[in-house]
Amino acid sequence: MDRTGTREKYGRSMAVAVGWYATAIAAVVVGTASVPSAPEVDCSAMFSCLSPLESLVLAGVFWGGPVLVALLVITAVVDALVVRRVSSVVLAGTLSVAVSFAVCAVVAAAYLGGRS
Amino acid sequence: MKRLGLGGLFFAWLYGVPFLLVVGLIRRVSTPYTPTDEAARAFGATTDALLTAGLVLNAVLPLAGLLLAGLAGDAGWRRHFGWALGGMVLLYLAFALIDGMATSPLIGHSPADQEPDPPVSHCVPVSGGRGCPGG
Repeated sequence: MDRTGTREKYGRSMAVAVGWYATAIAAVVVGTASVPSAPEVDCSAMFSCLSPLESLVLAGVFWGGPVLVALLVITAVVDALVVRRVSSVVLAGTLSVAVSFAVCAVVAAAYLGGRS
Repeated sequence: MKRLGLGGLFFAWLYGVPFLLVVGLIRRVSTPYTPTDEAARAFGATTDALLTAGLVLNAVLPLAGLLLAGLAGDAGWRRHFGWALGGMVLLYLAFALIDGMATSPLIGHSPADQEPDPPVSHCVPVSGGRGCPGG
C-alpha cells in the first residue's frame, strides 16, 4: 500500500478509536448520573456531601486526564502497527483500543498490587 | 444515501450497543437511593429495559445490516457486517461471563428500597424477655 493510503487509513482508524473513548466516557457519565443518591444530612467534613456524579468529576480531574492521555498515546503507537496488517479501519481502531486498555489495566494492577 | 444509511446502522451497533449495556450494568451494580418500594421497582424496570434493548439491538442491527448490504450489493459494508457478527458473539459471551459472576440475575432485579419497616404496635412475647402485660 502506498504511503498516503496508509496515512488516511491511520487517521480514520484513530477516529474509530477516539469514538470508543467518547462512548465509554459518555456511558459512565450517563450511567452514574442516572442513579439517584441519598440526600446527605451531615456535610461538615470535606468531600462528604458529593453525589456520585460529583465524585466521578473529581476523580476524572485527578486521574481521568493523565490516564486518558496515556491511553491515547498507547493507542496511537499500537494503531500505527495494527493499521498496516489489518485491512479494516474499524477493526484496526477497535483492536488498538482493546490492546491499550489491556496494557493500562495490567499497569494499573501492577501499580496497585505493588503498593499494598 | 444508501452508504450513509448502512454506515449509520453499523456505527449505531458498534457504539450504541456497548453504550446501552455499560449504562445498564452501572445502574445494575449501583445501590440507588429509592425511598419507596415503587421507586425501587421503577429503577429496576428502567435498568432491565436498557439491558434488554442492548441485547436485542446487538442481534438485530448486524443481521439487518447484513441483509440490507446484501440487497444493496455493497460488498464493503457486507464485509463489515460479517465482522460485526463475530463482534455480536463476543459481546454476548462477555455479557454471559458477567452474568455468571453476578450472584443474582442481571435482568429482572429490583434494588432494595429504604422504606422503614412498619413499627411493631402490639406486644410480641419473646423467650427470655419481659412478659407481655396480661399474658
